[in-house]
Amino acid sequence: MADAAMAPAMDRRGLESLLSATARGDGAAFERLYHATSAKLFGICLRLLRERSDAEDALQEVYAVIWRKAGQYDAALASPISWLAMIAHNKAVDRLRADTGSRNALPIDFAEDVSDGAITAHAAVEQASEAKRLDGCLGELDTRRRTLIRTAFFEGVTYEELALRSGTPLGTVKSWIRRGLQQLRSCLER
Amino acid sequence: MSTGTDHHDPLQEPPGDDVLAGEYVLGVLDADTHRAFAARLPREPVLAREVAAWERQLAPMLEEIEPVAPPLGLWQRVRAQVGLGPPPTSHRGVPLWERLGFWRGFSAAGLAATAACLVALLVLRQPYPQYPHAPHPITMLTTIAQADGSPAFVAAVDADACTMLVMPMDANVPKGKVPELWVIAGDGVPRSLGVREMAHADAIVVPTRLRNALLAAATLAVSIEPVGGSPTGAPTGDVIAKGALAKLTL
Repeated sequence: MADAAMAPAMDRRGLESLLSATARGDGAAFERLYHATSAKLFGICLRLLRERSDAEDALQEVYAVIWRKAGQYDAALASPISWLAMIAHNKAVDRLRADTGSRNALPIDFAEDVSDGAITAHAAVEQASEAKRLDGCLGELDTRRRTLIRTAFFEGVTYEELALRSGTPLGTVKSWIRRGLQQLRSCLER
Repeated sequence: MSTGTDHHDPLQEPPGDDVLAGEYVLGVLDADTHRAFAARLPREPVLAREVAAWERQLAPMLEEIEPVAPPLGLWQRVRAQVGLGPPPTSHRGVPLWERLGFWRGFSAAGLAATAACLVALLVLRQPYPQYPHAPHPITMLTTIAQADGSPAFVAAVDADACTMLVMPMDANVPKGKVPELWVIAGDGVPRSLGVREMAHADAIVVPTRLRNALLAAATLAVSIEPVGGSPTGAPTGDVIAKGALAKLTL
């Protein structure tokens, strides 16, 4: 295909081949990978960082990491979009940790369960079923554990911030999240 | 405290590496612990596998985050950062609306008709059907015209004013001087969008503080300045061209 702007909708195999070409230093493949995935990854950066200019800087770093680490992608371990999405999540959390200023002090309310389990209609069938499974396992958790895990993951906040915002002792927050993570893992591995 | 038959005590400080890896992926560790953990990863493959396992298990949650198109100019920043050099000069991979010939087709008189074509093209050429937000739609256009009506520049702005595409036409810029672009919003104060190139089209990432100004009914103006741009932060030379941004109704 001659025109990067005309890249078709990318399925898993398409993204995998772009990743392996990127690993070989193929700039055109990297550009197509960028155009096929940057909106998803920008959405993730924006959700965690909230400030648009921060999210733009983070996205630039994310693709620099992808360019460097494309060769480390292992199809046996994750789907390409999950792998890319977690790089974006990871970079956004790195930026939040580097910036000590507190960003969101909204109280966390356990009575109001924020789990909406929304799965976008655009997800590939395979990914949708993984999301459904995770959602099912999250649903088995106690509301407080689930709320804390979701808030932590989507807002990139620390134990200390979670304790402060939920008005719960730090030790209790740690215990809930650690037990929640273990419970989630055993559910997913069943 | 006893946890009976639990394999791991979740209250144990510090927790086992499997739990710590989950906390790292979740993003709840404080700055020091987060950094210290990240530093272990390159030399501890077992730990790296734990992280990969948690990433695989938690990643599906990210499915529910809606895609948002990044500003158009960001790809060029990525490209420069990874050392891929300047953009190719051929048309391969360059979207139609960033190509010189396409913009040369504009004229003040034909602007409305051409704008309609541009919108149609953006809709038709939408390259990634799985993400309805891409590409960033252009929603404002103007010809920055000189006193005789001839266009000095054509500018297009995207929906949230993050990116402006600026195409030089035939501005009369005296030798040894440079054109500087300004946005003038409701308060009448010109704010600089920088010195512009006459040689090629640019995608400008609009500074955050100027985005609101662009979204309000704004005028763009070009002044003639010494090399390096206005030394005062306000136009110092002749204003050679002006144009009011027009919203495209989609």
